[in-house]
Amino acid sequence: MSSDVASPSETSLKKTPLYPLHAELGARFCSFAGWALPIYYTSILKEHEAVRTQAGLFDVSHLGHLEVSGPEAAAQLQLLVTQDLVSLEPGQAIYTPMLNSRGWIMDEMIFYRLGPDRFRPVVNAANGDKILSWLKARLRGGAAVEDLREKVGTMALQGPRAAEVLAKVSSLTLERLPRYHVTAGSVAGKEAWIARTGYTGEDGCEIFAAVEDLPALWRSLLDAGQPMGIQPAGLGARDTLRLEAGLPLGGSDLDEKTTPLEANLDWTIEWRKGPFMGREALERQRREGVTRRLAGFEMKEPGIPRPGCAIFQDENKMGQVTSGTMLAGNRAIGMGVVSPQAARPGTRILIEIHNRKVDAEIVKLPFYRRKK
Amino acid sequence: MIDQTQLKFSKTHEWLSSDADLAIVGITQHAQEEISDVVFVELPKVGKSVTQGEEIAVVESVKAAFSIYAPVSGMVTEINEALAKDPGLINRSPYEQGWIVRMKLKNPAEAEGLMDQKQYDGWVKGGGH
Repeated sequence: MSSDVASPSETSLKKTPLYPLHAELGARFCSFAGWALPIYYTSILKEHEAVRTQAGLFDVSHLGHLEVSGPEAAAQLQLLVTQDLVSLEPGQAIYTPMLNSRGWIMDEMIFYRLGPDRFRPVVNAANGDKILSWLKARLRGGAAVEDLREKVGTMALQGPRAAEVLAKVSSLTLERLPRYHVTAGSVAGKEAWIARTGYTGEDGCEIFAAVEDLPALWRSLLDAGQPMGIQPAGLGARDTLRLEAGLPLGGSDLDEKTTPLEANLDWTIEWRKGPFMGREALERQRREGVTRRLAGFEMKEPGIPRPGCAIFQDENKMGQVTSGTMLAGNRAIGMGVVSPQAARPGTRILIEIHNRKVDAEIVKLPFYRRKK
Repeated sequence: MIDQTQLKFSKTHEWLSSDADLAIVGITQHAQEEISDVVFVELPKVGKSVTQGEEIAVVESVKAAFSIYAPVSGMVTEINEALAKDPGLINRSPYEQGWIVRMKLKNPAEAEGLMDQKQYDGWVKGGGH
């Protein structure tokens, strides 16, 4: 038995403050963007299921917290992202790509507006340094960026019973916090920001707290959630959950030369606002049309699509798989880059898996939508 | 059905239960724990000839695909069809219902070169992989 997936040599990797607690819980670790993170505690399938039916708790402290503040923060950030940050109310959050002048996604992130002059972009672990220096180079007087990556950690409490779990340790209830909103509050006696956001396609929240408070918070939430069937959940389940929810993963589904129009992220471009970095390139691409597009597909024959597998239409190779897995119930799903003509739901494609061409069909994303 | 005390083991974590020139092949408890949730098994065709150490099947978890190697040379005479419907058998019953193939051995002496349970346990303890 062997696999080409390397196990982490943990010495050189960064560890979150919760690392010893994960080890205590019997976690299996993997390396991701320079971090040693739990890939699963019991099993990816079980943790996936717990998040869909009960609740799961994730340590996502590898995500990078930056903070941009100052009276000019809104106006200056407006020029650097595709969404409209000026119209975002304090207490609201929005998902947005940040582009370079060629329209390529440098990173995609959620911007939390914590106050009138205070924005908190939470960026992908691999892109923290890049985005920090990008912002430093472009923000002028009246707006400054602060690096909070060593100070703030993130836990994601996700699942249909997440609200119940939170209610046991906080006076704040999710009923009073609409989707894509954020508020300051106390959780298990610790000061925190609580945001009704996530990366699983399920209800729940993300909790930002000082790194020294994370272990106590983690334990309190797991204890409080026990009657609701809470499970600690690893990066493995996070990946299958986000894929099932049709959410792209930076670095996998989006390479460094992908525009939002190619990434199926058209909805994140606020054309009605004024200028922003990358706008001209996007306008040109919108006029001329894209040459490739990210799409979701489902396997029609047995086989599991993996990143890098070639995608064919008839005899022509037109792209490759960027994410793929098999979920419970023998459902193999994935995302991949295909020609824009082929990106329409219903198109039959072939995916090369272990030197066999296996039938698949383009489907509309997401694969899973939670019942309201 | 399988006498676990008589199993032979490869360094790549396959087991072999042989009787003269007939054998059953699967993966070990340690291997199934390493792989975790098995969600798909790609089986060879009956009649396929393999040499010792050659890939004989692919066992896939949610995260990754794992090559399974023939612990001895021979021909595949039967495959475990039950794995198509229920690949989790490999996790739940690696030495019984989760067997992978039956083989007719080309050179039964090859089986003698494999490890016994005690040697294999030592190999796993030593971090063998």
